[in-house]
Amino acid sequence: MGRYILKRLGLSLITLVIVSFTVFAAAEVLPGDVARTVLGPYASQQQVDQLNHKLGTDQPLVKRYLTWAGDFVKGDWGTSPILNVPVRPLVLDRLKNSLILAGFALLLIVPISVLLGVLAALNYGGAADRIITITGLSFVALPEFVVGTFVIVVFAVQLGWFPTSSSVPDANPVDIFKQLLLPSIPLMFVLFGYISRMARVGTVESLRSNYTRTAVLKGLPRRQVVGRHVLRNSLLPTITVVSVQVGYLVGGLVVVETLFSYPGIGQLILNAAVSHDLPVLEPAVLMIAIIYLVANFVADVLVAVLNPRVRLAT
Amino acid sequence: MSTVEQSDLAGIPGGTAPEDVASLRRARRAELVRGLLHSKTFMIGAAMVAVWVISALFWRWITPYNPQAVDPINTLKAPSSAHWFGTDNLGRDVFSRVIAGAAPVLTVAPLATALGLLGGITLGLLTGYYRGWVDDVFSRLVDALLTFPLIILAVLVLASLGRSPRNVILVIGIIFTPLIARTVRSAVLIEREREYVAAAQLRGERGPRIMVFEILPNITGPITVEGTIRLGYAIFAAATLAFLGLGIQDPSPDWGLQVANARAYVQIAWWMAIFPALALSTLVVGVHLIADGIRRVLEE
Repeated sequence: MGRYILKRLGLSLITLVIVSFTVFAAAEVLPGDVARTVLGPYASQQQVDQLNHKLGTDQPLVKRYLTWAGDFVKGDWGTSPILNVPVRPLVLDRLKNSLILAGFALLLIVPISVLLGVLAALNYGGAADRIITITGLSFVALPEFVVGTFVIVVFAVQLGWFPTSSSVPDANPVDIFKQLLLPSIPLMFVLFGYISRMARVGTVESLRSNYTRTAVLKGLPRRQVVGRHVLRNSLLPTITVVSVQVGYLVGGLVVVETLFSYPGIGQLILNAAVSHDLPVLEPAVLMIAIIYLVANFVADVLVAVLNPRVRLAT
Repeated sequence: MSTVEQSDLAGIPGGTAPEDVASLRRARRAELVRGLLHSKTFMIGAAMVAVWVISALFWRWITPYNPQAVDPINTLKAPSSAHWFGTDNLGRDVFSRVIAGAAPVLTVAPLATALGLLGGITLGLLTGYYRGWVDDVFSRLVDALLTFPLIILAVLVLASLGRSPRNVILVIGIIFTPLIARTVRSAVLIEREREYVAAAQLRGERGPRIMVFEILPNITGPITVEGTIRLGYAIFAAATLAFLGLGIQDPSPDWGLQVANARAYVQIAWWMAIFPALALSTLVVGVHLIADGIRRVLEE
């Protein structure tokens, strides 16, 4: 088990280095002179060159990457030349806001999706199965901003139950639901589609397996067959899917945060990319990659703990 | 090149002459069309998409107003008999803009899908047929790409290349290439073990010829399904990028753009946002119904 975890950890670190370099290289390819953007069109070329030298944007790419990666690890993330604020508190604060929103959506939708997915599988081919499957398929197809627009018009404008744009909630549960429920609905639509489909497929396969047949034939009650033999095996792939969806969630957050003007990291990344604010863009995207890798690592370890075949195979 | 003549094949007991293969394929295609016409899912989806295709082609003749025409006296008017879907903040007729808005999305999305199919089929055939280390490296790269939020990738690239419909087509097409290649690859992996491929190899046919003339005609089913599903996602992606302000720019009646513009007026003019959003939903769901219909008919 220890060796398995070490191996996974090593792989995650290697991926992180590759991703961080890709992010850095991709962002630095963005045309547009940073110093020119900051100083405006009337600054002299000499002033521009000086600022570029001060910012280090005239150094070779690999050298700049090493300096940047070193500073990132030390926690020295610099200041945004566009927004004129220190980057680290800005990115971490926005990240925290996004985690609150994403965490809320996940907490609500994962149990519902798994429950309905399993329910569909237990009614395989029946009416409930068809309804759940078709709903899931059409939910996945709809863009987040479309679903978001519908819920804003119905629940915020017409019924007036929620604000039309969301801010970071206070600690009390009423405010959490008031601020976060609408923006998380578009995210939950897509998540529901993927997670319920996976839970259903996993359960259907597990129901058809030999060990389930044995359990039924030796006379176990259905509740025990499902609870002890079917679900334990069927939910393993679902854990992996939930962790992979963290990557999707970030993309969804860009759209949802823009639509609801919620101050999260997705909105920050969009604005930083459009305004070529590299000192903000790079650590923000890198933080997302780190969170994604952590989520996958935790999921891998969890699957290994639950399934001896995975950890013993390595 | 094939050195075996048709007459040789006809002489072998049980051998099938090329004409029979062609007629067999025609018969199978006719059966597929019949199946699709009887599929309720496919027909509903086709009807939904047809409405928007007709709008995209003929909006100039259908729209009651010029979708770009500004009318400063009648801004933000609620739906009425004069303006079925109301007017927007510049007094433009929302119904006309929704009809005309089918054109940009139905230009960008199919072109992006075509680009992805071209790249994906080529890459999928090559990696699936030749296997080897190139295939291993490719599969790892696709896995890595899939983990990255694709919208963020598109945002980064569009912010650097510049925001234009052409770049949106390029970005979506390039991101789709490895995804389509993966589906094609797995279909090729099954086909390459079949006897007809071994027969072609024994006849001395070269790899490229086997891939294009032997394997490709036999995997059109999965490619059609994948292409249709991808078209749905291309519409999704193109609309989302337009909504984020990274695609087509303002005077265009693009649906994503209309919803983005409507955001500021949602409290006083909900009709500005809801109708383009509804239009987009019906188009996307229609494409997915078509894909699902084709998949089911092919599986039967």
